[in-house]
Amino acid sequence: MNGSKETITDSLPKRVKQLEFGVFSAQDSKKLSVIELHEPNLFDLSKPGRPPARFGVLDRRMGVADKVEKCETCGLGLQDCVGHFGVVRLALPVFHIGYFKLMITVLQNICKNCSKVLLEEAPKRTLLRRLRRPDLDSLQKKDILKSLNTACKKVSKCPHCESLNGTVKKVGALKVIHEKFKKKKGEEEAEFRASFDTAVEMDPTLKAHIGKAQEDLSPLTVLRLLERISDQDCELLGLDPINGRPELFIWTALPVPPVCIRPSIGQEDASNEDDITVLVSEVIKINAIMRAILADGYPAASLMEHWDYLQLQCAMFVTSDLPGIPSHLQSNLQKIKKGFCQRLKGKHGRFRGNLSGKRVDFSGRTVIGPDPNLRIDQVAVPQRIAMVLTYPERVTDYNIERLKENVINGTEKHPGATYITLANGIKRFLKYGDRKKLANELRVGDLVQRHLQDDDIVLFNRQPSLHKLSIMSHYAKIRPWRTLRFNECVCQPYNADFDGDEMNLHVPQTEEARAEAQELMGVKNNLVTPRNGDPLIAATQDFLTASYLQSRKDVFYDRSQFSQICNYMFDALLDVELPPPTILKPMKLWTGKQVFTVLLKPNKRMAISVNLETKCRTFEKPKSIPNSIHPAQLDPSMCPNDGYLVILNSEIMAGVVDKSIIGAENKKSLFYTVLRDFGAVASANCMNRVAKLSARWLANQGFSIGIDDVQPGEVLRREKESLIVGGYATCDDLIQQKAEGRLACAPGMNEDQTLEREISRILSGLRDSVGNICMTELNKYNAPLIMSLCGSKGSKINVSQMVALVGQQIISGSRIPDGFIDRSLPHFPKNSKIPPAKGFVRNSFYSGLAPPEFLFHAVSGREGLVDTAVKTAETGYMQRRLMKALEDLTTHYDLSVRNSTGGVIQFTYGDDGLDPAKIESSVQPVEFPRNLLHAMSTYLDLNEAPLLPYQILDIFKKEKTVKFKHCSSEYVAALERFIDEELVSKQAALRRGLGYEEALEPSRTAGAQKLKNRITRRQFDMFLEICQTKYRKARIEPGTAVGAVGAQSIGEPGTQMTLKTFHFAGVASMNVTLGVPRIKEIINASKTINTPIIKGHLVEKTKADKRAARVVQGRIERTTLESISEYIEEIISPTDCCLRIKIDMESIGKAQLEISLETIAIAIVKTSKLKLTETQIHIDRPDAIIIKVNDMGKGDTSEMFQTLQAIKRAVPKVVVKGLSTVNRAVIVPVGNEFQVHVEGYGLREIMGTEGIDGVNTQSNHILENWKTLGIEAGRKTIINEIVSVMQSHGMTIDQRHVMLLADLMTFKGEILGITRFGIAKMKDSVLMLASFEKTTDHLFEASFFGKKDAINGVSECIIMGVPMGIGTGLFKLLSKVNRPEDVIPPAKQLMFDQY
Amino acid sequence: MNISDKFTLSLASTAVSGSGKKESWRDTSNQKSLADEYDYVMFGKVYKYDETGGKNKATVYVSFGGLLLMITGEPVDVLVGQEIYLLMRKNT
Repeated sequence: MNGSKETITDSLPKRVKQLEFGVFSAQDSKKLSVIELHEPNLFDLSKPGRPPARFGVLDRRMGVADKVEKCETCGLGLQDCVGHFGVVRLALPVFHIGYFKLMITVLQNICKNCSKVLLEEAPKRTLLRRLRRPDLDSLQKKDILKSLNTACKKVSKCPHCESLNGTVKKVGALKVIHEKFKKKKGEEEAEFRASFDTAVEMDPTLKAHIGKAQEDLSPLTVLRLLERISDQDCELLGLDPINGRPELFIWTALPVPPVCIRPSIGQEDASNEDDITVLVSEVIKINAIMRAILADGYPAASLMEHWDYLQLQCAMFVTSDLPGIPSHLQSNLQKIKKGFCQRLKGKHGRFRGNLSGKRVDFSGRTVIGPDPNLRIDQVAVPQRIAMVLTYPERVTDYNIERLKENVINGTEKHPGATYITLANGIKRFLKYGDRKKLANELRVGDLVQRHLQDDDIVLFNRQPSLHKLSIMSHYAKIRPWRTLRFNECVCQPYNADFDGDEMNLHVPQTEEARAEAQELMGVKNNLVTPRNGDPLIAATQDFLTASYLQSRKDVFYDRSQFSQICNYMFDALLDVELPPPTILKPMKLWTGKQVFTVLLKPNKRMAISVNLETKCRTFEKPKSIPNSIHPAQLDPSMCPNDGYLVILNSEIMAGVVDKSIIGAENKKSLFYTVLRDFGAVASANCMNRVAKLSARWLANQGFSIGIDDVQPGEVLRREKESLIVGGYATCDDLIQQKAEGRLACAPGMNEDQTLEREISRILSGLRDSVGNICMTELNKYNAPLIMSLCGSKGSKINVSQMVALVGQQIISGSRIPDGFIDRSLPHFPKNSKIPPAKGFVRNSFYSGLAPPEFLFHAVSGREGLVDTAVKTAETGYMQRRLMKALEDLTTHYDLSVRNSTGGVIQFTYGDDGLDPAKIESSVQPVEFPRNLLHAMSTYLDLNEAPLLPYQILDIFKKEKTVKFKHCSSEYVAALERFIDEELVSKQAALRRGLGYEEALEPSRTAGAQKLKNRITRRQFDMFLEICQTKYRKARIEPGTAVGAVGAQSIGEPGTQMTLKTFHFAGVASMNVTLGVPRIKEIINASKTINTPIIKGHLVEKTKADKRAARVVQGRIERTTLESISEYIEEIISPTDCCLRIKIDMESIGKAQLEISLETIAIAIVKTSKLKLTETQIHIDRPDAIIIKVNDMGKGDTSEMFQTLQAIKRAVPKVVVKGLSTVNRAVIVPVGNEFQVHVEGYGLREIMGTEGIDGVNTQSNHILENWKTLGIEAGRKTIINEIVSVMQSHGMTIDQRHVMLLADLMTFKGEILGITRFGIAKMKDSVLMLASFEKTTDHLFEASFFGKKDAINGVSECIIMGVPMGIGTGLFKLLSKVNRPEDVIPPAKQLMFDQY
Repeated sequence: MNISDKFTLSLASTAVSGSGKKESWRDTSNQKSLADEYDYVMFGKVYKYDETGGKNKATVYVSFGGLLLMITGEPVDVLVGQEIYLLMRKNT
């Protein structure tokens, strides 16, 4: 018997095919257990040393919890004994709290007399047939069971045994009653009540309570009922009749878990027991008492009390938080902290804390620091970390010498080794023993656990890991000291700085893992973010400053200086060819820009010739010189700030090198161009050189900031003073205007709002103009100015805040509100609206803030802090939900996107099957203009004949069907359009301008007329070749985890969204929720949203007519009776009692409302709350309505008066025109037409409103779009809304990610939010749902219905520890079939085909 | 140099007349060169040729290591990428 409890080790490879959930019966738990417990004491106090009591909860036969003792069942110690179950046989059955709700549903479905399902035979059969369909998924099954439940709840008489059945209800925490007679009172009830007669006789006080008596379903009764359910009915209830019979869900025996999962914490002589241990011993104690009561026949009341107590204790065993425990039991119930549910639940529970995320070996963590001398794909690992982390290297002929060295060095000296695993499996520790001998005995095939060495592959990570770039693979570089160091260029993807951040390091332990890490997570392979294809790894901060300073026009070097600078960047590892000097005479001088020429292309053998034209940050359009011979349209490189970069074959022709050239998140940057045209290695090399060059050059040059950098000049001071005085005066004037009531309201605003807006506008204008003066006044060597110009640190606003003025302080979008009564601070008069009273700071940080200013500034600063704190929690949860919903979506070999069960989400990823990370322009995978420039610059050959426009067209027409056969039609069309516009038409126009033939048609003479801006055959061929190869490379790879990448791409920008939650859309002051709150609304698919807005276009005919718009507005906007009536009077005469409502017909006419007395009358009648009939309403022409109050034939005048009053109160709120779901409608001029924007719901009604062009009307409410226009409209709305939110925050996300999210939310045919309810409808896997939210609910449900989990998805695979079917796990090995391809194999004969 | 000073400025595609080969900038002492006759010499490249001005008018953009020259005149036979010397001499 004991042997069967041990784990059987088996060397055969096995695979978990599926998990089946279910329950143990009482027999099972008894069979599984080694002892039956009946001793309530934990320790045997009678014996010396107080050993655990025999048959007690700590009995050693269930395993041991301390290191010395041995298990009495298997004889093993703590390390090896797996533990053995015990069992407590319960005197009376109790409910299992986990299955309680589900069991009640079963009870509701069956007859409480004969245990049959409360349905006729026919509907039973149809339901059963539906349940037995093989392709049923769990959701459909749930629906069927729900319909069964609703049907059964309606039945009050069992169709089988004719007995009464009422509602089954839960009362208190764990009690069920059956209200048999609630619905049907009759003889049976009388009989039931009569059964209490004797009791009443004995105790007359009971009589009052008899009426309330109901049938009590005690665990024992329920058990008997459930046992009698037939197998077929079990199936109908969704249960497994063999393994999951309903009576199993009532506890008759309590399994006691092994000691090792509830260890005692021993201290000296006292020991602290685990909650579970305490609980079980309590159960044993009560159990014994109950047994005694049953045997000896104590009063029943005491038995019931104990039974209830046992019930609660058993419930606590499962979960410790039981809401609604009866108070009389609560007092003597000792609360335990952790039941089994609590062990599983939550962030640190088993599922999320131990199964989905595990602690790992071979990892390290320390503070990080910068080191520009490292390559971007390196990380400096401190030697003391390198001596702990090891890599198991297999000995080969090639590394044996090195590994011998390592072995000799041992554990204490780097580079050493810690263990050797010999080929025969014996492990040797290298701290002690004769290492030289071991080294000599090292053979090929042995495994050496050697220290981390240079160029080992490590994974580097910084939390929070919001996107895939938060974990990347680096090459280790072992260095002294204690910090992890890396190139500053890699800060951005990790979002790291060096103010004390720590980062983690992991060492992959196999060659396969290393290879995969390097290919998929290598820094060089992740220079761009998959969010939108922007480069993330690029120069930052000091690198930008240095590059900018060096590339300015006034930098010249002589030969020695130039050579020295060139050598900064190559570490003497590369041949450097000096370019010819710019100035030859009087002395040879090189310019700073030429340094970058060397940087890009150090010598002629390097095949890197970059061609790029782009605007720098300081670009300004050059003004053409009037009346000169120069062209009217100057080339942008003539920009006065040198703000247009031109690179021709790796030579910088013009422009400065600033953030937009070598910075991150710009697709027109230099590094991105190199990356796309010459590969990641070339790009990374350039970055390495920039880093070294900048760091070393700047170290010699020096760059510092001092107090004199922020001193305002005389001009600035004067100008600022006059501007502020002027601005204040304007504000005072406005305030005065408002006080006198002369202020004209802006549309859709009241006076206060108008004033606020105007003042804010003036003040922000004030700051801007002072700021601009400040920027022009500072000299070009001013450090803050340089930094803000080149983009390395600080913006213009930061500089002007230091030098000029700080400006208006803002809290939640408005000026500082009142903290005191009617004023912000007691320093100001009440109700003061002047700028200083509402938080305008006129001082600069240099001049110092006045006390009130300082406070306002602090207030505004605090808001920012609070906002970030709140937002991180919110976005973190959003990210988690997104990830859980999208984690197992992946592309397959047909480029379709499917979930883990194979369900199709998209037929082609993103409609074109392209990878968002490889999109070069904003939409196409190739940026045509730049690549054309590149092709043209590559072949600069005077002798080659140029192509004529018609020749270009001919070549492309031919290639279209050959080279571009596999490209999407949109791509080819875009390319064709580009060639037509940028090449053919331009060339033709040029030719026309020069008086040549246009040559759009074949011409023999045109060939002699050659253009200078020409394109040759070789250039054009190269361009087409680039267009083709880049498209092919941009296709998404099968197996890509597009879901995970998409979830990260949407979630990660959320964390960066600043507090701007609202913004103004146009004049009408229609606020739209933006930022994280809006994203949340969208992905939650919320029913009520903050700002529902419907944009209604007017029909074509009346588009430009404001009057028509006003009429439509009147039709939509809610008009209540009170707003169109002059007065309401009561008329009480001896004969009559009525209300007379005087309608203001004039204002109705003015507002062009389509309201007549008749429509008002109808509206009043239709308002059901008033309970008025048509006969009571009389129209009193010309302009009044009379409502008569009936006396109901009773003649009770006081009642009539009261009715009159009630109607009088209610009638003003009657909606006489418009939609009640609408808050307000506003006319908005858009271009030269008018639109009606509606705040509120009711898309369908608005589309149907006369005068509205229903086809063009759109709502921002997703569910409404879906319900009105269908699921595709819902999908489109999701996409549009997410994109527009991101756009408003200046963030770009590739369409494909948003499309995937929208498709996931809609692929079931209804809109599912990314919430626990939505996700539960998308996925089937129990483990996945359990690891998300409501862990225990999902587990109990799974075991109740005997669910199975096939371990397909990502979460399940991680929990089970098997490789997942995503990425490199996608492909499976198929065997080769030895038969001709076109022969279909003969059909197999099935068993019954023979008959 | 001051305003209204007179000077000679020439642009040339080669500094050493007649030599078809690429010229070295390192050591020109023993070669006869155009530069000998000028005080100030720069070396650069054409990076743009604008012929949108119509007949008989063209604009050439030259960059001397980032120092820019725009010159408009009658069409000349230069092409983007071509190397150019700028030679200057003060007229006395």
